[in-house]
Amino acid sequence: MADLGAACLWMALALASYSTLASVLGQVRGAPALLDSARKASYVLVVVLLVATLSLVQSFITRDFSLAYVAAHSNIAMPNIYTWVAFYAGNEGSLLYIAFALSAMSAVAIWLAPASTRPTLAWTVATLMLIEVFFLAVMGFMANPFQKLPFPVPDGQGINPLLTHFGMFFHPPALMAGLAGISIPFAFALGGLIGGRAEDEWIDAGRAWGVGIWALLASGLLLGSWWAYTILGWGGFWFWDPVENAAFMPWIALTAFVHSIMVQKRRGMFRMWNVVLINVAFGLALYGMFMNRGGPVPSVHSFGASTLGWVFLLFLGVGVVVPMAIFFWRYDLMRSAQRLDSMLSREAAFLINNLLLLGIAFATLWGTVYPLLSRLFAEQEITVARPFYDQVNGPLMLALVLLMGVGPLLPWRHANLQSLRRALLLPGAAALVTAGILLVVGVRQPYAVVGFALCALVAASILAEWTRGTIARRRSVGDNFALGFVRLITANRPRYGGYVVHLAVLMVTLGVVGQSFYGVQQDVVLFPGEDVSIGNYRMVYVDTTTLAFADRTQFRTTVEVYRDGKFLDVMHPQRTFHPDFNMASTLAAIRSTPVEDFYVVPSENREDGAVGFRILINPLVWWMWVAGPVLILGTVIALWPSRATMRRPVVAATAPAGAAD
Amino acid sequence: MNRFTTTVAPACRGVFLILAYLAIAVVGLQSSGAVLAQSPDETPTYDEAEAQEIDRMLMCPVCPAQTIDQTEVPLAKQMREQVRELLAGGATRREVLDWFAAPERYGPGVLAEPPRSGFNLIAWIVPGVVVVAALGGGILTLRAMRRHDGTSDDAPSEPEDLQPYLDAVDRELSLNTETERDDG
Repeated sequence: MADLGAACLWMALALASYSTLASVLGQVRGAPALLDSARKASYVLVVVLLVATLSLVQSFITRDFSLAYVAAHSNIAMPNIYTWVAFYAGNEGSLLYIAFALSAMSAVAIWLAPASTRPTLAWTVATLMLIEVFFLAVMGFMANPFQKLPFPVPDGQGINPLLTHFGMFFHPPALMAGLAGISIPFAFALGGLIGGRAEDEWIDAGRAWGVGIWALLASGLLLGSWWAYTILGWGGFWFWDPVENAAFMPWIALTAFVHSIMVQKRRGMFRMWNVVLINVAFGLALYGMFMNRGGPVPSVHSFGASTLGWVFLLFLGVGVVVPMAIFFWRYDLMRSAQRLDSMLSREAAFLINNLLLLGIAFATLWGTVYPLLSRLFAEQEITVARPFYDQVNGPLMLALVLLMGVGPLLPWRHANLQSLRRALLLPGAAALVTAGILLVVGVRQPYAVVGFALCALVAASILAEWTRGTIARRRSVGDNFALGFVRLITANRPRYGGYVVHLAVLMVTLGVVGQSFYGVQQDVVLFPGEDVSIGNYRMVYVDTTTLAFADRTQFRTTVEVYRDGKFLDVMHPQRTFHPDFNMASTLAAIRSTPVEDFYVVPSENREDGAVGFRILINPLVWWMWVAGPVLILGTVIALWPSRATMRRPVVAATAPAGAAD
Repeated sequence: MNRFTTTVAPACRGVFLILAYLAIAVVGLQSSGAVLAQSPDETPTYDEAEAQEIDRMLMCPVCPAQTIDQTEVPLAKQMREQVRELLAGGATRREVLDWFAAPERYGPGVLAEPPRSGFNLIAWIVPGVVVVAALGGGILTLRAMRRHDGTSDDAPSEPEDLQPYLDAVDRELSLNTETERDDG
C-alpha cells in the first residue's frame, strides 16, 4: 500500500509538471488541445494525490512501522481515532495534505472558472500547477512521507500528546488548506496579468475564492484558539506565537483584499491595489510556511527540526520577486476606470480600512523579524512576544472596529456630511450610553470602555440599517417583518452577508476584551476535601482517579463548584502524563455561559495527593466560540450564487443607484 | 483644495482625535498599572494580580516562545516564586523585570517585549511610523485620485431635498432586487 502511495507521489509530480508545461506551450502556440489536456491533467492530479493520501492514512491505521514517517508520528497505544488524522501531524505528511488540498481546490477553481477568465485561464492553471510542482518535488526529493526504514521497528515514537485532541480534526486542515488556498485568487490575478487582461476580468473569481479562503482561515484560527483554550492549560487562547502570527498575517491581508475587491467590483477602482493586496497575502502565506518549516524563530508549533528552511526561503523569494516583476511589466494595464469623487465616501473608507489592516500585518511581521535584526545589528538577544503585539496592534484593531461602524454608513462616491451625521446619531448615542453605563458600574479600564463602546456603535449601526431596510420594504412592497428582513438580505447578499460577518467579529472583540481585562486567575494547591474561593465561586477538590495506560498516566480529577453558596456543577478536569515525551497534557473543565466561563485545569499532581489547580473566571469568552458559526453563516450568505450572475460594472452615469447602497 | 478643507478636514480631524484618545487610553492603561505597582506596601505580602501581570512579561528560558505564566516546567515555577519574593520584598514591576533581565541572570531576552531604550526603541517606533506614513500616503493618493475636471457635481448639497429622492431610489431598488442588486 505504501509503495502505491510512493508511486502516486511521483506520478503526481509528473502530472503537475506536464500540466504546467502544456499550459504554457498551449497558450504560447495557440493549441487548444494542449490546453485541454493540461486542464484534464490538473483534474487527474486530484485523484492521484487522493490515492497517495489514502495510502498514507492506511499506513497509519495499520501502523505500518516500516515507514519512517509512520514510526515517527504514531505508536501502538495511540487511540485509533487519531490514526486517521495523524498523517498531517508532521512535516512530510502535512506537505502531502497541502498538495492534495491545493490540487482539489485548484481543480474546482479551474472547472468553475468564470467566462471572463477563460482567455487567460491557461496562465492561472500554469501558476497553480507550478506551486503543486514545488510541493511535490520537495516531498519527492527531500521529505518523502513514504520513505522506508532500513528495518521495521516494533513500535513507533508516538505523536506529540498535545495533538491528540478533537481540535486536531479541524484546526490544522483548515489552516493548511486556507494558507495553500490563497494561491487560487492569487493565480487568477497573476494569470490575468500575464495574459494581458488585468482590468476587471479576474475579480469575480478572485472575490469568491478570496472570501471563501478568508472564512476557512478565520475558522482555522478560531478553532486553534479554542483548542489552545481547552488544552494548553494556561487559560488563554492567543499569545502571538510566531506561527500563530504566520497564519494571522495572510488572513489579515486577505481581510483587506475582500474589502478592497468590492471597490473594484462596484466602481472599477483600486485595480492595481487589489493585485498588490493578493500578492501581499500570498507572500505572507509563503512566509508563514517558511516560519513553520525551519524558520529561525522558536515556536510551539514548529515541525521539529526541519531542514527544509532554505527551500521554503527560496520559494518565498521566488514567490515574491517573480509576481512583482510581472506586476511592473503589466503596470499600464491596471489603470482605474473611475476617479474618486470625494474623500468622504465608501471608497475612501475602504482604503483606510486596508491601510489599518496592512498596518497590523506589518507590525506583526516586524515583531517576528525584529529579534533577527537585533541579533544582527545590536548583537543582543531580544524577545518580541505577547505584550508587544497587544500594545501595538490593540489600538489599530480598535480603530478598525470604529471604522466597521462608520464605513458602511458612507455611500459610494460621495457622502453628505449632514446625512452621515444623521446616520451616526443612533450608533453614536449607543456608544456613549454604553460608555456611560460602564463608567457608572465601575469599569475603569480605558481600553475596555472604548472597546465595548465601539462594539455598541457597530452593533447599533448594523441593526439600525437592518431595521430601516426592513421597514422600507414593508412600506414599499408590503412584506411583513420576517419576510421583509429575509428579502432585504437576499436582495444584496454580499452586503448583508458582510454585516453578519461583522457581527461575528464584534462577538470575538467582546470575548477578547472581556478576557484580557477582566479575567481573574488563581493558582492554588489543594488536598482532597479542601476548597478555595475565587470571585463569587467556591470550588471543592473531591478526589483524583488515576488510570495507567501503556504510554501515559491519566489523572481524572473531580471538583464541585458552588456559586453564591449554591451548588452549581461537578466538573472533571484532566491531566495526563506522557513519560515518552516527559510532558503532561491537560484538558480543562469549562463551565461556559454568555456572561463568564468558570475554567479549571490541574497543573500538577503531587505525590502526597495534593493537586495544583489553575482556576480562571473569564468573562464573555463564550461569544468568541459562538462567533465561528455566525461567521460561516455570513460567508455563505455573501457567497451564495445569485440568479443573475452577470456582473454589471457601475459606471458613473448609473451610479446614483449605488448611493442608497 | 477648498472643498477638501471644508468637507474632509473635519472627518480627518475626527479620525485623528479618536486615534489620539486611543493613544491616551494606552498610556493611561500603562500608568495606572505603574501606580498600582508603586503603591507602598508595609506588610511583606504582595499583590497577586500584579505578580500575574509580571509572569506574563517574562519568557520561560527553556520553553519555545512561552511566558512563565504558561508553563509548568520547574524553571518557570521557580521564576514565578522569585517574582513573588521580589514583590514581597517591596520591588516595583520595573525592578523585578530588571532583576531578571540583568546580564548576569537571564539577559534582556527574558523580557517578553523589547526594552524601550537604546537600539530597541526602533522596535517600538517603526510600526507607528509606518502606519502613520501609510495613512498619510493613502490620503495623499486618494486626493490625487480625485477628479480634477470639475465634472463632480455638488448636487447632493441640499440634504433636506435629498431624502425623498433617496427614498424613491430605495423603493425602486427594492422592486428590482433580482436584477440589479446582486452585488455589494
